Amino acid sequence: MTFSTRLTRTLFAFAGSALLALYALSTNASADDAKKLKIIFVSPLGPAQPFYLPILKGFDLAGKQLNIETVFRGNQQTSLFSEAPVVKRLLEDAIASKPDGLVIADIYPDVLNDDIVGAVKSGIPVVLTNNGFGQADNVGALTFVGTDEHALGEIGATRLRELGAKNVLVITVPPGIPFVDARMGGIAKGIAPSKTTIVQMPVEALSDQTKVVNTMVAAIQKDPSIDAIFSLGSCCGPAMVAAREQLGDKAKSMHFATIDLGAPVLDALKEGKVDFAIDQQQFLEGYQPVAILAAYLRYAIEPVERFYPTGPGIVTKANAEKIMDLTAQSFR
Amino acid sequence: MGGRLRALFLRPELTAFVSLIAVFAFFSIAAGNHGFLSFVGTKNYLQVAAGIGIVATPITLLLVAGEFDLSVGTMIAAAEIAVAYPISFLGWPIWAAMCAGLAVAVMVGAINGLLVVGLGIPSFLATLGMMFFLRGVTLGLTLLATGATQIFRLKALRAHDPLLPLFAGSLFGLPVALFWWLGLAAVAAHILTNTRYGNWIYAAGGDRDAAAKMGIPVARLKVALYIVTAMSGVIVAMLEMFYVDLADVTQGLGKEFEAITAAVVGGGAITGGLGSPIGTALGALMLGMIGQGFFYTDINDNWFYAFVGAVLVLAVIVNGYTRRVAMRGAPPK
Repeated sequence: MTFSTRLTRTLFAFAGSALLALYALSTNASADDAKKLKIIFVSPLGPAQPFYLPILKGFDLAGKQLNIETVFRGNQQTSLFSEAPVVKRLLEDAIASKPDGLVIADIYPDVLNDDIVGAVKSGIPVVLTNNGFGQADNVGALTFVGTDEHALGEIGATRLRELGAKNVLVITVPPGIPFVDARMGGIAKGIAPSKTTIVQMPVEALSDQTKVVNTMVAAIQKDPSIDAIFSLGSCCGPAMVAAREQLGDKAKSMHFATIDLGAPVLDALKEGKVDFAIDQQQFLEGYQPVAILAAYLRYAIEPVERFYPTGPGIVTKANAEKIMDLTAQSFR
Repeated sequence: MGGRLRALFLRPELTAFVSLIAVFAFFSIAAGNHGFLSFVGTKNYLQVAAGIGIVATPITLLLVAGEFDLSVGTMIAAAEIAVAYPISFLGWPIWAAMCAGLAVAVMVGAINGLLVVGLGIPSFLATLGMMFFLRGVTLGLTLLATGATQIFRLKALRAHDPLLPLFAGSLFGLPVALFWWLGLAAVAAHILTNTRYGNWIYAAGGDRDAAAKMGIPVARLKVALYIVTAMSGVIVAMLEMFYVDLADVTQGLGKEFEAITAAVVGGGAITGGLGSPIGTALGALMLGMIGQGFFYTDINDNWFYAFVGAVLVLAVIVNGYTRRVAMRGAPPK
């Protein structure tokens, strides 16, 4: 037998057992699925994005507790936002499969709203979540569960200004996604008369945390008058903590804030190295839409308000320790 | 131009060096007074270049042997988890956890190699398949095992580990990543130019059948190169996770393209048979300089990609021009 033939056989054996193992790991269907209500959640993000884990946990937990089949359709590959056409396709596929209810992260209203209106007209109740502040009325959704991103930005910036920051380095992603723009608008409003220095991280650099850390260091080297960092999103919270370490003594006179509750940020909050983290309490953004849809579908109960705010909450040294275990379990 | 000087400039390393000087000159003028030329600024791009260079080094050998590896970026994520999980959840020391990472690398590299030489699947497709598969498995298994996609607090857990300085420390004030990079590039350059394995690699990238007839174990050689490439992903993973104190299932995405770009800028040929580890190191340095140097300039961030693309193409033009100038008037053979 040649080397190649042996290789080929080994390979087939390996591929076969890998597929079997994969199947065993990935299926969790139960026998009584047929008569259950089915709710599909369409999103531009997915489990590879740490911020999304609590949302998915809430979504699945609500399904379990309320005896509803919950199906997630999002980005399974990367931690980045899927682009508009991709989300639109996911949404159209979800609508075509005629679920009992839809949960939608309405991140691209201009692209998605027509389809959402179509779904509502065809009798599928919709709850918007995480993204879509102000869109519930436009599309006829029962409500929007989440955070007003403009308010979030404004609250964070105001707080940093009140701490004494004069020039805040804002680490963000490139503009163009409506909620990112709303957040930046809020920051601009809240920071005045202090100012911001904005760095847009190139998206592919987010997969190389060394780049994220060193880019923050570069920005502060370039403009030594920067006296605070506001890092937006879970991409850059741990990197900000690492950058703080690189900055040495300079960091002691600076302020740090983020929108991330990963363990490095919580540890740093506890030690007073980060001033505060803004908390969207996004577990509710997964849990609540299922509960709202269940109540609507089963008992014809309709939310009165078109906005169910889950955040922004604030985590500081005072309450960081309390949520550490919950973060480790992805509830927060 | 004298014959010896001309011969020097015909080396891919030298033409890459000229374009590197051009890029460096540009940033010195555009951003020199913003800290680009300072020690911290230099450290900044050297460290990023090291991350690219470490994986680009074995990628260069693979390119010379006529193969691609698109899965090495994903290997970084897989290795971060394979190393971080036993440290965080099983209390393993770094050496043992590193062995776990290397074991995964051997598996991934072997499968890549076997798909390519055993089943004859084009390496572009075989390793693309591995890239997706490995990314999915890393995410799925990590969620299954930990309920999360990131693993934290590694440095605190291994604060007194004798191996920690190998991955988290600095030497002469410079990040250790730099020394890994230079060491690996030197070893690869030595292997390629001074050993019979180097000749084998060139032969494998030329005519595979001829190489096999000459008694060169092409299949084993390629499998070994794939394994070494995957192992380089483990090194980058460990350097990165101990620098940021975070292991994440999404890290390393796109690193495969940076590595291939570095190799090609440094004189490698996508079609195989050509490549220089030293040239690749210069290419990686240039990519690090372009990527991080940008943030020292006053150019608006919206133009980042346009800028990177333009500088990269300009650098390659300088590269080609230097070579043409050197070749002009070459004595007839």
